[in-house]
Amino acid sequence: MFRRLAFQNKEGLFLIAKFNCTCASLEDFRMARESIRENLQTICPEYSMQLFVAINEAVNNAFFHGINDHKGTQVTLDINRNQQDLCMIVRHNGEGFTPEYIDCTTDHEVYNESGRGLDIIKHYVDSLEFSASGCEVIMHKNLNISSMGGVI
Amino acid sequence: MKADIKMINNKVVITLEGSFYVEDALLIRTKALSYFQDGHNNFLIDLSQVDYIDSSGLGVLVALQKRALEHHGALQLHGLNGVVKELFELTRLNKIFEIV
Repeated sequence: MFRRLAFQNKEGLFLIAKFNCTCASLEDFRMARESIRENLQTICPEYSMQLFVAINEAVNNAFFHGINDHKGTQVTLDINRNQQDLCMIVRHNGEGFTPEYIDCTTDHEVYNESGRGLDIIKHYVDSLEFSASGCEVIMHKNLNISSMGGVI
Repeated sequence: MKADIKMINNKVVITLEGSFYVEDALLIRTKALSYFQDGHNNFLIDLSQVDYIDSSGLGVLVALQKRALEHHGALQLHGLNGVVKELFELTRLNKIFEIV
């Protein structure tokens, strides 16, 4: 669901955009992808594709590495944007996982068939953090105030 | 994603269109490996109409490349552009594929 909110503080009118969705399966996520892409185009047109790439990798990781038993588990995506920052949180209610990176800069590991997802996310966001439980990935993209795009 | 597979001059030509997601990766892997089982080991994958490929898709292409090399064949990629080209560059996969 996408929402635009505005409130007043001492610096003046403050505007934010929010999006969230919950997927109980990879099939649910498959059905939600286009909506996520479209909403990112509204929320942050200047980085929409890069942000979608990061979200897609994070959600895939949640389903394939964080959730061992797909029954009764779900993955939630929250996106919040204000003038300076866009925050994306992917969380799941599974067991969590320890992030593992492959170093794509070495000739040996470039032939690995998996393990590129986190490296790709790191390329497209400004910060990437994991909760201690391994059930939550928090990604931030710094935004230029002058690049508010068409969001608000 | 749409996938069209044809034999042209004894080469397996796979033309993909759309976004290459995790569910497509399994499908392409299965289809392509069936051609290896039939004795084919030269592949051309046309990505010119692909606007996105995720890490599982990249992994499948690496797997097919390794399989082709094991069978003394080749796997060529064609038409990388936009985000797809950027993803190959940032993961350095552009160094291990023959891009035509």
